[in-house]
Amino acid sequence: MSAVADQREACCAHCRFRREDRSEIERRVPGMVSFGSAYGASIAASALCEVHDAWVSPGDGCSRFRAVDA
Amino acid sequence: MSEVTRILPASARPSENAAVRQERRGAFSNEDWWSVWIGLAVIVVAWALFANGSSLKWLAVAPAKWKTLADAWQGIATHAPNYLALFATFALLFGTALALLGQSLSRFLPSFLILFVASLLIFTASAWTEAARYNLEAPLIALVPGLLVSNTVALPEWFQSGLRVEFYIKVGIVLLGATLPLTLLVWAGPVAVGQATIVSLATFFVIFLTGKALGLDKRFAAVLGVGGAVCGVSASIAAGGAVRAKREQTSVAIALVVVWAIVMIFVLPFASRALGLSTAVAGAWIGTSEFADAAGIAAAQAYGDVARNAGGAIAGAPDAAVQAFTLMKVVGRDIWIGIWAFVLAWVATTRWNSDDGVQAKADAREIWARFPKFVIGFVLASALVTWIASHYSLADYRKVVTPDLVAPISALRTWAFTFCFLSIGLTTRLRSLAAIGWKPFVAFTAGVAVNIVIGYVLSVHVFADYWNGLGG
Repeated sequence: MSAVADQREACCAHCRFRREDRSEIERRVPGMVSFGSAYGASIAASALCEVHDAWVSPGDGCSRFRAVDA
Repeated sequence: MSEVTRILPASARPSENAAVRQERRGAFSNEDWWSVWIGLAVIVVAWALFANGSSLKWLAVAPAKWKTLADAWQGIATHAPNYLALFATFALLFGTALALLGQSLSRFLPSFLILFVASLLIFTASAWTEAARYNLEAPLIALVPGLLVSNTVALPEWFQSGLRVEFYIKVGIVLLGATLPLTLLVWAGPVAVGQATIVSLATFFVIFLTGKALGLDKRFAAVLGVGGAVCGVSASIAAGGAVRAKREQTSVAIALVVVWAIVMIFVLPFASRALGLSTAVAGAWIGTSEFADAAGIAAAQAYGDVARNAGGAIAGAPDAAVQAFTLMKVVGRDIWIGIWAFVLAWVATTRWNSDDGVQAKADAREIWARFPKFVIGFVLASALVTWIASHYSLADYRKVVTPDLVAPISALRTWAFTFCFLSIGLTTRLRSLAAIGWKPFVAFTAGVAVNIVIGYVLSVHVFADYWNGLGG
């Protein structure tokens, strides 16, 4: 596999720390369901990173990456 | 450390298998798209029945005015089959959508049954002939008990499944499109966009610059700014995702939006009444100065209800408040959220240092991905009913189309809004909101002040003629 392909694979979309379950996001962000929703369009592909405790997108990367099935 | 930080697990747990990860793209992938399909399906069925000499009136039942409790009970008992059918229809539509979005139907259905019965009682209470004397407008009757219950009683987890504020309001807004002629939308749309742009930019920069001056992180200040300037919680989520904000920063922005949105539900209609504003002008002001669609619809409908019962003391058609609000908020402000998110993502990834080592890039596809799709349904609903109406004379429209086609759709819209108002109160647990801190509070509140003043000047003095043209 090429370095570029490796880099593409080592992104948030394939990381075990990515938390994208919508009901879980609603539980973890207090107040979200009062006037918003994790099931709406505005969240798009954003998800929570459990390591950074921050929002991430599928193409993001970092040195803490660990593959889902690693 | 706030409660939000404390509830984080101490160590990261392995995620679920990639194979079960959700795919969020496609025309059935989120509540926005489902609100479009549900709203348009209702309108098409109503049209099909109307075209065949029938009507959706039997299903779209609403409590009639009553004087005594016996009358009220009689009304419910007489129409029990209609209410049962209405519950079944809503449960089928909402349940199908939520089940396909991955939610538990066995939790949703009992929760929605309770919500429906409570909504029926609220709807009935607001039909009391003396309700106006005691300011018992449906949105307020729904909100206040909901807030009291959710902040004093621990509601079971399964009950949350039926409290889908955003979903109900989006379905209601699509149905609202059926009552707003496309010509009016085209005429007032540019004004809404112009007014919203001025207010949104001013509000964003006031919050952002105040936050920065107080030493807040730029990402945090940006999330606060967009939350106040565009569409509240949805904007906070979109901006948080775009700038890769910390979860706690988004939670604080959401807490501020929720608190101020609830306050404004009560303050803006009261202030509009005190200032003698017409329904359309008040709706535009609320649309400029409220932070969340659901909260704004509650405030605008409350003011419309006040006008309806004011015996001509408030100028304008009652429905003009919600119509002006929707044009201002949905068309003027909400539709730009994707662009705000993309621009902020670009600035954050190219200008602001990331101190947590996350490598990110701005992606123009976010503009569409975050676009509030229910706006498409709102415009399509308006276009469809406008086209149907074009086949009738004005007299026939008023005599035939309004009672047999438009009125039943309006009744279903009112139901959807009532589900929403009740859900707002029942989901707003003030103790669970993130600890705010004085700096974010000051920054956001500065934006609130600017937003209200500029919104008032533009709605009442600069663009009043346009807004009153809606029916004022």
